[in-house]
Amino acid sequence: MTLTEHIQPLLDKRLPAALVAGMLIASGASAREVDHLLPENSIIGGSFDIPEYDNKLRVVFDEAYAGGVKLRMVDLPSFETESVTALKEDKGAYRILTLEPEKQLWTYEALAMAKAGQIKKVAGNDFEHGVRPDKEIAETEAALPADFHDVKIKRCEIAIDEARAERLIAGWKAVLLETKYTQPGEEGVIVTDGVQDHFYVSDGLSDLAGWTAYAPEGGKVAALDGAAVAMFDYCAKHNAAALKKLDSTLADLETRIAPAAGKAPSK
Amino acid sequence: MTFAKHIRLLPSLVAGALLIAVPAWGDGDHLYPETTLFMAAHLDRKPPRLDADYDIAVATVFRDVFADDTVLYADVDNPLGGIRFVGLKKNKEDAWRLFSLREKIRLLRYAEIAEAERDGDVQRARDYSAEVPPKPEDVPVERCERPLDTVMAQRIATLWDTMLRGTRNSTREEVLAENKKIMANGGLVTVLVDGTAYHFYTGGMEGQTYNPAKGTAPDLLSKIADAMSDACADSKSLPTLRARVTALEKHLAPESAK
Repeated sequence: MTLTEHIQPLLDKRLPAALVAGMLIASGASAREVDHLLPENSIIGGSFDIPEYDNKLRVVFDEAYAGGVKLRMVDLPSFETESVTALKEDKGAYRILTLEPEKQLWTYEALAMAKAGQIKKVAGNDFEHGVRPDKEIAETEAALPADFHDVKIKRCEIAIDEARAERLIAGWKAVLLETKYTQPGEEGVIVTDGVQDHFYVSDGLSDLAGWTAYAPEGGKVAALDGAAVAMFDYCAKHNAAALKKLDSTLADLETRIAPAAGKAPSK
Repeated sequence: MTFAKHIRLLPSLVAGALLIAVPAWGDGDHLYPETTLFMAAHLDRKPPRLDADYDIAVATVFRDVFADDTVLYADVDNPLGGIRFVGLKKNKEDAWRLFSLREKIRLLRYAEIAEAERDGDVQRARDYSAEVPPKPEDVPVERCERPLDTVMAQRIATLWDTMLRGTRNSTREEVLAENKKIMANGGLVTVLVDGTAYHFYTGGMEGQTYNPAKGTAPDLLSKIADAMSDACADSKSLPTLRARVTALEKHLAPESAK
């Protein structure tokens, strides 16, 4: 068991962000589920809890931030490696790009915390007297390059036709235009840990960004997430079945956003 | 203080491809989401490390702002005037306090030192380092704090919450309308090369505005932040704060009545 697997359940790296995202609003009898992305957090906002981690991701995923990138989804799972899925355009030709480090970058942060005594190992049920997880620290260090720049990156790129690309951009845009904080009357959700996804789209007019840690089943955010996953899978598998799956998730996204497409976000 | 450049765009650029660069914030009657590392850096492929380093230095120096008793705050950042924070704290006895903090040394220097070190420019790093204490933690801060009556504090807190809950991007239609307005003005746009950015925070929500249009909600909220700072320094400014709070309440009233 790695340090991250061992300790991460005890330490929710994103709990503050989830808490402050307005997800703890008391639910009402006729509450709606939160089915929209949330504005991104900042360092000065105090909700950007570990800027060094985000900076590592930004450096490793740099290619997905280049000019010509039209849309992007950065996926931050709890126990698996992070990844980015992007759609880029060059002179009218579109390509899906995916990047995934072979080691979870979060492990560097967990390691630093363990060394600093911020993460302790619990023996038996004695939660009050944790001990420094020296064995796990040593095992983790042995399995990790000393410098995160040296972590190998799995890279995939595949062409996609213009029609599908434009439908993906339109889908991203429709959901991202609705980015807002939890509104009164929306159902409260406590997210203590889980996958966190950051979305971005540019249409030449403006840059839109938003994130989620919770996507209700059958909603717009879940459909957007599904489309990103299907893009990633199509790049990895490059077969007819994966393309069919991408088409079906794209159609699902279009169905979900249809009523809202083109409208100003509701307040 | 704001310096502005007027740039006349070629109509062909605007009419066809709509290539006007629209910032994340605009003249809307709402705050705009913060920009972060997860957004694009199309113009500069380098990760926006300078911005992140600056924000980390600011968060370090003004760490009191992030204490548990802070209910709301704003930071006001001007390239020439520096950065200051203003906000409200509430203690366990429900007593409210108005606070204002201002940098005494330009904190951007710490980010610039780090950048010079990354660039391998030893001389530049050394020159900048001579201007600031070794660590941001040691930077002195100009402080002000005074009690504020509960009614006024709660009115301000309600306004912060209302404004931040309405934080959003411009819609495509709003951007297109803005471009149309520019073309009607002969393609003349004002590009701000300097200005004051206001960032607002409460309850985990964040939003920003940058030289907002006069009379809009972000403009009125920014004026409240300025008045809070003034009122902290001198209680004679409290009536101005009260008047500005009332002005924004009136501006938002039709919206909240819906």
